[in-house]
Amino acid sequence: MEKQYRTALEIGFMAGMRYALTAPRRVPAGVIGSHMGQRAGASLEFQEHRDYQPGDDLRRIDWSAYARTDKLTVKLFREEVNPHIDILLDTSASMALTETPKAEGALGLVAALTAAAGNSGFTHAVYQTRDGCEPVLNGNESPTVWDDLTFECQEPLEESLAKLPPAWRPRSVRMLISDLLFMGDPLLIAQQFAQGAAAVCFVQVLAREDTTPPHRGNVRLVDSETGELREVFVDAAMQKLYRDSLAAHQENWNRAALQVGASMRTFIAQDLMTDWDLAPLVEAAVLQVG
Amino acid sequence: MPIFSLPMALFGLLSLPTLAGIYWLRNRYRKRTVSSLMLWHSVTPAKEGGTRVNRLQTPLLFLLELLVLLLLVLAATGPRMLISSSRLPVIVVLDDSFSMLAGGDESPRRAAIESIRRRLETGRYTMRFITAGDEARVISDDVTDPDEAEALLANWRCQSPRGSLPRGISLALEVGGEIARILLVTDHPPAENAAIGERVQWHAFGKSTSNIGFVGASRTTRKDDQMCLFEIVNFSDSPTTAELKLEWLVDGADPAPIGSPLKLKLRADEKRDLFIPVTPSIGTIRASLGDDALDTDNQVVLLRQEPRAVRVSLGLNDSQLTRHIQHVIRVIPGIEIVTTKADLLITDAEKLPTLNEHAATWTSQLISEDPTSAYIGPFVVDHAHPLTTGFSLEGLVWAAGNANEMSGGNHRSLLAAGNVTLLDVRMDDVERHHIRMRYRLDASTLHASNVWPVLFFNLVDWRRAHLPGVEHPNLRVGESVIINLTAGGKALSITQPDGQSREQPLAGRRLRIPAEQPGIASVKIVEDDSPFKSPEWQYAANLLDGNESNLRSAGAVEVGDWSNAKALRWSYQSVAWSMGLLAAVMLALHLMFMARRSSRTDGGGGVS
Repeated sequence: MEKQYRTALEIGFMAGMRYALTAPRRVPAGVIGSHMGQRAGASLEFQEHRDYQPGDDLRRIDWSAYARTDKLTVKLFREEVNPHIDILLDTSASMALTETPKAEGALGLVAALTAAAGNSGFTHAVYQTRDGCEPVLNGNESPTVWDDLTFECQEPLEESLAKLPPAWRPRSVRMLISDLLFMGDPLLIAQQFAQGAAAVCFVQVLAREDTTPPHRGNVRLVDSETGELREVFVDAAMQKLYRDSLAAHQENWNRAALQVGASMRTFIAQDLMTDWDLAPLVEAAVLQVG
Repeated sequence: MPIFSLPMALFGLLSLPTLAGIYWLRNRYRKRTVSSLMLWHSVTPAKEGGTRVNRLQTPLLFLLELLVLLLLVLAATGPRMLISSSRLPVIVVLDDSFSMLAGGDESPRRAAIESIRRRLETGRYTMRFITAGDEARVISDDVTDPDEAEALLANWRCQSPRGSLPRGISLALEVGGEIARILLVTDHPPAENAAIGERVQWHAFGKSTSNIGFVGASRTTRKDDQMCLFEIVNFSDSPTTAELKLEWLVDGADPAPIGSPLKLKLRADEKRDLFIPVTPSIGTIRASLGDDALDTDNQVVLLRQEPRAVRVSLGLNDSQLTRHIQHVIRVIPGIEIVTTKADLLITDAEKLPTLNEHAATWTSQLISEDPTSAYIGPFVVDHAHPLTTGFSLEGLVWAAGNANEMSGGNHRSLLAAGNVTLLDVRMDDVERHHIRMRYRLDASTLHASNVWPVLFFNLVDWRRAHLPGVEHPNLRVGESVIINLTAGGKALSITQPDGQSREQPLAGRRLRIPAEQPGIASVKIVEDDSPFKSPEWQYAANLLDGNESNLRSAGAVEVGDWSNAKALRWSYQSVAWSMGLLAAVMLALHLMFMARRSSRTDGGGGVS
């Protein structure tokens, strides 16, 4: 792994120590075993009885009740939840945009989130997109020991999720760290993240160069992932068109996030790395100042 | 296109590749790696058309700038085009000699004005007028209106004794440049072998006719009488008679006849010299002949030549010298011996008397020195000086002091024996002359020769020429009258015979004023705040010239064909101005596009 990536991880981890991950609204507060889910589960705390339905665990049938009422009744216990955060880091080539600290910003942010999660007693798992979504080497550990992180993925995030989705832990908090600059339906991806999740947050990390169109004149654009060329004449009208397109794209993602009960925040890498202020995530109730 | 002979155009041309280079550098494609092209899908690629105005902005500006530079380069090459509808510029050279007035109302001058008017009425000419008299003068700017031209031609008076047509043509060529045609207006045809340029048209309006006229007139003063000399010529191939009438012109009264008219019988081409004595008391005399083709030369005016005596004072101690000088002075006419307020002081004193600043006294000092040497030549004489005119010192002995230099500097040596100056002169601050003559009477033979009276005659005559007033009051038009002033002043006021006055600044006390018009002119000094009335002098100028009075060579002819229709329809004219105008329009368009571009930039949005 490149040295600047490791440095970014360390700095981000240090910055994240100031924050704590906020427990999702649907998850009871507490550490392992004390974080109780709203649904029936496998904990020892009895919740209620209900009629047996096909597919219920036969081990949960209350045979005593059956003897008394001749009805198959199952005992429901409150689900016991281990607080956990799953982070999917988009490691496509666009995240390491040339001459920008975009990759470092994204890595630092992931490291900060894991630090904040640790402060809240959450375990974490970090995935990267690489021929599907595969765990980062030592991704369950402290960011300082993560390894084999590269930004060379050529396939779209949507495809990676379809090919090999992350091993989401049920009821986990799920976050996507990406520039979100890829084609595809944001709602489909958002739904995929939200299924079985306690909370979902999409964090868009952009470089200043992503938000600011090129200066006037003729520009030969090169796609960082596909290498595709496009020659355009940039003038004031073109600059405005680009800004409008970016705003519309961000609005699509924001709307998709809202539809699945998730939140979305955007960071500019250059600004983020100035003071590592994660206030937008605090405002979104994803983090709280520790 | 003669680009390389036009540095400005060449430099301008070099700016074209410079501009193209600037645009190439500015418009070349800059490479930029972006996260994704998805946001650029809505943006039109440069090579695929699209929003036409947006795409054309920079190329249009470039084209405009290129066009402006090209136009300026073209303008710098001085392009000319054949333009048919413009007026043909014509420089009209007007013969200003008095023979143009022959014939009264049917004079060549009148006919020429009518002809010029008719030409202007065609609307095909712009004309500028030059008079060719003693000097060639431009008397107008370009004129297209016939009435305006006729008003300007009132200044064409034909009052010159001769018309210098070559000078007029030279000035016309200089004024008119390469395009203008030249119309020469005169009263006589060109000489048979004269070469007339392609651009010159010779248009003569004269009429060959007989004429009698004065060709010379003067008035001289002798002791107690005055004499008038008239030269009259019969410019005719046949004998004729004329009547000479003399009149005394008195201010505010009718002219008084002097004697009876004189009947003259003149043979063909005869020149008659008439010496007519007149009483000295008679003032201005007008002599006239009868009417004929040319009135101008039928009349002369002569002022009385006032006696101009030189007041000489002798301050001599040497009796021998006094005798020799008095002997000479007595026989020189126009001398008055005085003891005070002398015009000329002849003295042998070693030291000159102190002269008042306002005194007009010149001094002639004879210096007798020891040791003495006798010089027999060779003598170096400045014959250009009026004092040494007619000197011949051959065989004479001139004895004088043998020192190489005389005391005092700033003298002009007039006569020297080797390097020993014998006669010199100095002019002081108020323009008085002081002559020094080294002479030992006892060892010289000069006083016994004919050079001695010549020397004193020259001395007196030179002094007389500088006496205050007009030196020769009767002269021909075109000559210069010489006026000696007693004191300075602010300016000199000259009133011409036609009554017009003008002032000219004073420079020195001896003035030369050209006599411009026939008749009597008056001159006086304009003084700032002098309580004394300035003296007023008069001079009379007459138009006298045999060549102009001889009208037999006059004729009507039109030589030169530049005025044909072809030449009029097509003439090369500069179109550099149109290039400049077009460039200005292009620049205005450029500014408009730039303004539009700026307003569009101001309306641009941003990403939050």
